[in-house]
Amino acid sequence: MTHAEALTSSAHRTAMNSTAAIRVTDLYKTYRSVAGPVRALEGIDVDIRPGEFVSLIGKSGCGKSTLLQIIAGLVRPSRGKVLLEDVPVVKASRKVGLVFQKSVLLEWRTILDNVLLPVELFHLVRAGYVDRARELLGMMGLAGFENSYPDELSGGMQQRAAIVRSLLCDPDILLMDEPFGALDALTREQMNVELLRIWQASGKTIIFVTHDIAEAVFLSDRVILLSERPGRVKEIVKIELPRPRTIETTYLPQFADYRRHLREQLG
Amino acid sequence: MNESVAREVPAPPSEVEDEFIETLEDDEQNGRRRIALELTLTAAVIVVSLALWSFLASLTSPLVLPAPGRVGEVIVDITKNGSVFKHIETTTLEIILGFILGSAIGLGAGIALAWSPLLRRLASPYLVASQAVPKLALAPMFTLWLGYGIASKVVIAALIAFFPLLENTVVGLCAVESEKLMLFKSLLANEIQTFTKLRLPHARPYIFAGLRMAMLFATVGAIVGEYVGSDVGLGAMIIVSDGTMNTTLMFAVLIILTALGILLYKLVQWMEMLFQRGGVVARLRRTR
Repeated sequence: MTHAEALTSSAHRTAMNSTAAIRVTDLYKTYRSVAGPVRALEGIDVDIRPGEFVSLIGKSGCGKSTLLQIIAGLVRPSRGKVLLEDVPVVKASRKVGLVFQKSVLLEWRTILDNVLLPVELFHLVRAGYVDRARELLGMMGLAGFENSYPDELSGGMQQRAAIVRSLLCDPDILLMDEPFGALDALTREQMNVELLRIWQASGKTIIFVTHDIAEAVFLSDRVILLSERPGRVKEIVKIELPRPRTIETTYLPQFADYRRHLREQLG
Repeated sequence: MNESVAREVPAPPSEVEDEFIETLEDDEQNGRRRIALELTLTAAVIVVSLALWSFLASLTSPLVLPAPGRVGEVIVDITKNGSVFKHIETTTLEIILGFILGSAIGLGAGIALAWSPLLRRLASPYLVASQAVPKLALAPMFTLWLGYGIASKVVIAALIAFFPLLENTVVGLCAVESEKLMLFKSLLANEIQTFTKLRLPHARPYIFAGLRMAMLFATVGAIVGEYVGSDVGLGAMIIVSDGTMNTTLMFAVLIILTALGILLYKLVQWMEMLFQRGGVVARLRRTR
């Protein structure tokens, strides 16, 4: 880099970065544990475009959840940084919606009140979001369950409510940590189709952690394969299946090819 | 044509529905049968115990075991001439004040300890010591310090009532699942929001379990306080009836005391129902 370039590099970099919704640079994470330091992530570099759907797959314990939590600002990296729309992540952000493996609904609140939790915690005016909440609940097939309590709903419905909660304040980025991992295969399939519909309608950027290869292929624009601990990016596979994708997509020969390839790489 | 189609199409679901309604009716019938059975059994237990009591009483002197009929008469007497009411009043006041004082300390200290792990480590040896001491053995000391009035009884009641609530409050506030804390962190919740919207509602059932215990303990504390030194209160009445060999009166007071204890326990349960999900408090909060 020349001197002149170095002078203008900050402006230059900003212009360059604006193409990435999420930029992870040279990220390391080492945990301290009783048995000594555990290297969870090593040298992760990933750029994710706005509106892109990216899955993270890898064996359990490969650090995919850790990576997601670092991007969400819930865990600090040991080295490296994460930029969300060019802004370094130092703590959680309203721009990011999170969905966990469990629905994590508060059992003493009705579904509507659960969904409105972010509004309360962000000190926003509840009245301004009630209609939106009802609309989203309706979209997710939960109309009529607004005043039910979480334990009155099935696992799939609870998870849908959790997704509505994450969408309510309209985050640009959705981080999903094995959101359908606890659901049965049929419900899961249905949820995948619904998720794609929402994603396509909203243009959000989604990072989706899963250990299910078929799910990753079905949903994603790109699948990022992490190696076993310490997690490194082993391969990034571009999924060039036509959209909109339906259950029919899963019967395409290319779908099987992607699955086989990823399965072999996963080892 | 249309009509016939309309009539034909819903046929299968309506059959299913009928079956469903039938099972519902079965359930309802079973429920009614179960309630009837429970009532019969409860009545039977009471009748058998009273019969057994009468039988045993007929074998011994009324000084040892008075007959249930006699005890009932005494209860009616002391209620009619009103002599028992000032004792009930005093004891109830002691229990309630002891419960309120003990609960305030238990809840306040529980919240403080849950908030600060350092405080928890510092205070826990003293707390354990305060419970390892046989507290009821301290009753004479409090009577010595605070006199024969209700103050000594309130303090004894509070002293033994606060601990179960404190323990339950700490456990309830700290036992929040890590996923929920993570959710709140991701939603940028501050300490106060995490406390009022997560920890406290999560601890609610624990706190009410502690309050129920506290009420029972406060009852024991007040009575023991009265045993040590008092001239009013149901505990004092028991001591007096013991001194005058009036066993029938003692039994009457014990029954009144039991009824009072149950009533106060129920009071806490009713309070809990107000705070339950979908309860009055939750509904008020929602309309606000």
